[in-house]
Amino acid sequence: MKPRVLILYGYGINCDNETEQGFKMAGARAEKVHINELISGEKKLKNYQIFALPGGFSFGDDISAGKVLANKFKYNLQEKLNNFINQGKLIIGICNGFQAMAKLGILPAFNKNHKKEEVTLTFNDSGRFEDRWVYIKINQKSSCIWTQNIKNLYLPVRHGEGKFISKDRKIRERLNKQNQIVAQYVDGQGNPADYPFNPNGSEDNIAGICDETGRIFGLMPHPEGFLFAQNHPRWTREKIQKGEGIKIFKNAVEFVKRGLSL
Amino acid sequence: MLHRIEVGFKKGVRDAIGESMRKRIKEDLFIFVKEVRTVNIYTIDANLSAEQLRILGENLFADPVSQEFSLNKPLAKDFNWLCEIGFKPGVTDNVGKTARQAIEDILKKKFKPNEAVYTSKQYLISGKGLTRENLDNIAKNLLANDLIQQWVIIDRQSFTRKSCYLPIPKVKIPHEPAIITINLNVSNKELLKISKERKLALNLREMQEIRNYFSRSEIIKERQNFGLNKEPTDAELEVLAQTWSEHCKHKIFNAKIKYKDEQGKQIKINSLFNTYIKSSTKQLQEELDWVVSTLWDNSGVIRFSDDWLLAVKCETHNSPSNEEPYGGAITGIVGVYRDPMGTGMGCKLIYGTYGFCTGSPFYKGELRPKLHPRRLLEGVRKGVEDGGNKSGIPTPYGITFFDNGYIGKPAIYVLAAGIIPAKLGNEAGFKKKVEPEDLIVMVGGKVGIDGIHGATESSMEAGEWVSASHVQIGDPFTQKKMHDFLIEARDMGFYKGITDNGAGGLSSSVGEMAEFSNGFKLHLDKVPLKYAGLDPWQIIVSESQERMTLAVSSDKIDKFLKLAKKHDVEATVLGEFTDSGKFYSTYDGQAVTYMDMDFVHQGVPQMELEAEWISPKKRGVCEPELKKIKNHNSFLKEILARINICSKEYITRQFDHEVQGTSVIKHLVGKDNDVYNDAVVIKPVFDLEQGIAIAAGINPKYSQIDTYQMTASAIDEAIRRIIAVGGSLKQIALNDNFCWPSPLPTTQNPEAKYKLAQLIRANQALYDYTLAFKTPCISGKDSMSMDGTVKDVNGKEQRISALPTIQFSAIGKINDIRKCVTMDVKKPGDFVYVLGITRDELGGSEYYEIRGKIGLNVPKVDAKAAINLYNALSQAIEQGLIASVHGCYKGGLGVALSQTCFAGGYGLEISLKKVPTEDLFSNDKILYSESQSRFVVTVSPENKKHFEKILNGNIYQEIGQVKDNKKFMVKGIKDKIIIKENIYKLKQAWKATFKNF
Repeated sequence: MKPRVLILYGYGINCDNETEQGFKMAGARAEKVHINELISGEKKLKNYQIFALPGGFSFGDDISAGKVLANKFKYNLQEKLNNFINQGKLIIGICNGFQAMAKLGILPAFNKNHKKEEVTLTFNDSGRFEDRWVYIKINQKSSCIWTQNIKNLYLPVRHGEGKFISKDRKIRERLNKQNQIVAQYVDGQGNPADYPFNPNGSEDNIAGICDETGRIFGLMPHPEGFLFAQNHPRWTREKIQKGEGIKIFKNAVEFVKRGLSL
Repeated sequence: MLHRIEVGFKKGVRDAIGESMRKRIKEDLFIFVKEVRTVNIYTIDANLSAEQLRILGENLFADPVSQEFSLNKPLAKDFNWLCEIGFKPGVTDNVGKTARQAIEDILKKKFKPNEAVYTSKQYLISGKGLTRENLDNIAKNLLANDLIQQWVIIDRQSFTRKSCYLPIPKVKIPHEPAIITINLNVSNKELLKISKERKLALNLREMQEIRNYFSRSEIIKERQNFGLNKEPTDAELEVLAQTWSEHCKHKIFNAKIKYKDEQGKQIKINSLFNTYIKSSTKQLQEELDWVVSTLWDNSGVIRFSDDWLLAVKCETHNSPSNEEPYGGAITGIVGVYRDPMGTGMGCKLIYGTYGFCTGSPFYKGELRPKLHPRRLLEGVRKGVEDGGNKSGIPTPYGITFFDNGYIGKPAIYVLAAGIIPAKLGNEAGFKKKVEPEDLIVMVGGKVGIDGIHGATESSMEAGEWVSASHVQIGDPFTQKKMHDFLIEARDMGFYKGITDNGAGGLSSSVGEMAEFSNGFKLHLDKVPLKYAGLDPWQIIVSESQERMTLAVSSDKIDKFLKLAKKHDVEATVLGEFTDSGKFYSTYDGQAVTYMDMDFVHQGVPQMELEAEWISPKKRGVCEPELKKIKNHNSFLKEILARINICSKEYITRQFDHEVQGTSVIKHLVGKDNDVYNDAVVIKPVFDLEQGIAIAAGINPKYSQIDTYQMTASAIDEAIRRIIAVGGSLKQIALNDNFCWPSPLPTTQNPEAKYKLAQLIRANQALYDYTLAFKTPCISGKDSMSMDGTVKDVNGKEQRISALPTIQFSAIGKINDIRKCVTMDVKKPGDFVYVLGITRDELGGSEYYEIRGKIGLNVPKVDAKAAINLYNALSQAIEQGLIASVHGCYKGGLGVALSQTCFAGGYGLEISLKKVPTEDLFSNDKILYSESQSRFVVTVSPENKKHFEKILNGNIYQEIGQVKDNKKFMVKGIKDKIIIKENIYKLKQAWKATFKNF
């Protein structure tokens, strides 16, 4: 049985098609579901094993990126979402999806409190939206299911509000201590570096975090932006065999195939 | 009840928006400011309790990690000056609209029709010695635009709780909608007065034609049955003005012209469009099987693959962008997206591009344009950024071109492309059908007074008068929802026909769709409005954005409306299509328009114009005598830093050029991903290796000499760029976009005849070269009023006309994207070749311009030689023999070679003596000639023989080699080293110009 993936779309989400494609290439049965189909109950979250919140400009990024989408969940779907999480199912939020997850509080979700906003993604230090490729280093000690057996990735970032900050030092330390910091921006040699390598000025160069179980993962870079070798900006001069972003989706699909209860 | 929620950043959290504004105040206005902080204000005009407001502050408006908020009291403290900026009434407030929806969702309570959320922004500015004059300058020239915004400036001492409150921009139209009639049986002078006062932009002949129509006895009789008389209603006059506008009818391009050509011979041209553009496109459509649909729909359609068709349309949005660059450009890009969306049965959008032609951002001359070019450029850039990024449509390619002729009016190009299945059920995807009894359905945004008279006003000169209602702010969010909805509705077969609401609003969209069925009946009282009080004529011509008009059969309408609801998209049945032959609309049962469809669409009288060409020599244009360059190293760096050559990476990076996951050759390539490739490539369908190469050609400087060669060069450039990345002449389509100074004779325009002759020569070149290259113009557009009135330092008004400008956008089919090549050198030891001949062609070049000259020898395009060369190069790329290809464009060989090596990170050793030329014995000219149809190519030693065999019969020469060092070394014709420079120093020079942007 192929794992079933719900790809959220509608209201300005815009990376839904390539995220769907990524999961399909990773061996999943992916399906785009409109937010209103979830709210009306026409489609049910419980019928899926993986839930993906793709990138985009939900609600135009108005007020602040991901905020209005987060509220859509909070005020319409909170219980269903909690059930999904409590069943140990997998969630990924990419870019705008990550912003919404942080603002909703399902990341970092210390002590399984999925309703408290402890971290946020705010305006890039440059004050600008930027599209550029970044090197990220994966924390080998992290329990994140999505990044198992991945050491480094080269992926595009495309955002204006991607600077990761924590509410206070305690949270920052706890994220670090619990190895919830999954992905960090580094330079070409793998060392922490400033702009443009850290494209937004994120605290501790954070590009992505997971919850305490490692099943919920949010990141600013776009793995679905590197599904094909030719998406790489230098494939005409370096030997690039295939799209590296798929690895992330594959990890989740394989995990579900092995059985969620693991 | 008004409630004010203020949101600011917590102490210690960087205010990146305030910080970038501080930098711009310094860079753009030369005012030193210590700090700028921002506060976002949401004024809620609705009945809410204190508890509800607290919930909203905590959960919606402020981020608990980074922000703080206050309710009904100011957050502002520690500043010297405060500037609060809000919108004027009727201007689209996108954030306000979203906030309202979000509040409704949280509180589970619907707003009443007169309740709303309004946004405004405070800038808290600190710095020593800042004066009110400084603040006025900052507000007026950077933070706000008085066309759409209002603001208040307060110093710290005068600041009180309510002192910064702006009046909320609620639209109140104290007016009962009415239909009036207009007596046209008046003197000619009176007719013109009516046209002017109502801003109809109709000339005397057109006004007379309208009067004659309504005076015909059979027409009077017919109209009496509908309660109308011999006087047209205001709505009828407005509909005709919009439909007959230059913008919609292209009256100049369709005029009868008496032309005195270069030999002094008199020629008669009946419609430039028919004679040159349409005729070329038609001939090519007959010959080329991949040209699917042209010359009738919202955009031209070509074949992409067996299963997919591709529609492309390029537009200009010059007039509104000149007044409100952000609003103009965002409305432009979001608007042009609706062209492919309204083509055939409706396309899924796959990319957009931009072209910004403005005055120099570093302009320091005598003229005082209302908006400095630097501000205008930033505004249009931001407009396309928001329009594109928020629509989820990649903007992978674009150009800038700077010339101070654009200070009167800029040329702002926006292009959109979409794909559609070749077959939808049993029908071809590019067709549409409208039959009597089909319902007229309007989808998307609501209608307001914004955007009334867009079509007529854009046909006028800048500076005459502009009303705020003509400037709009596009709403990509609303349109993105509509786009997702329409693609689903299309695939479910829920509608039969679709078109967009652009210029002329419903009058154009319904009017054009009704040509299929030959008539319609429209109920204007059913149109959803943003606010009450609009007259029927306003409803029918309003150009409020983000709307499409569809034909839905009555058996599908319920499903259609249900799907709209799922997507939270407004959709309303407004009437039905008929076969009555009539343009019929009503308001509350009363007839508003009742005219013959034929008269509306075909009634406009043909314009008659005269043209006379004056040869460059007669105009006193000649070749200059110049001293040789003494220091080639520094000259090369100077030319690389020129505004029309240097890097504008900051622009490219702010566009999402990769969303949809289709990007395969990016605009910025090379070792450090930072040098422009000739063209970009996308792969729009995941499981196909076929792709689309995207580029544009433009070179208005050559217009100073001859618009024929300017046009030929622009076409050749567009094609050359596609060839360079791996496309071929087998399938390249073009879009032609003319931006021309007015060729209409008026007292202010003494050179009208010459400008029209320039237009004719451009059309002749378009005809000759599109046919020669077999590259059809599948869509196009003209903007014929590139003139503006600008005050100089003494307050005296000056009329500024732009250089005649055409952008050719190219769309090339790539059969296998895995064979594409980029412009950067790949490895040491590869041989460097120049393909094509270099002539004494520096007329209009950068080289002459640096030295204050124009020159006479404008580059000419030898189509036959170019075709042979392009075919050979395509073949060599196809066979994988090429390491890098870069075309020669502005700045010639010198610039192309430099870019190619600094992009790849290796040195070059080049001998100019080997460059194939036509009797050129000057290092300067060989390096900087702008002869067309040339490339710099690198080839690895193992492919040398095979490559040369394929190139056999063309002009080409190996001129050097890629080196394993960082030196760009050029030997002159006498074998002396004339350039020896570190490649990163060259790159630095190329990147330095805009580094503070």
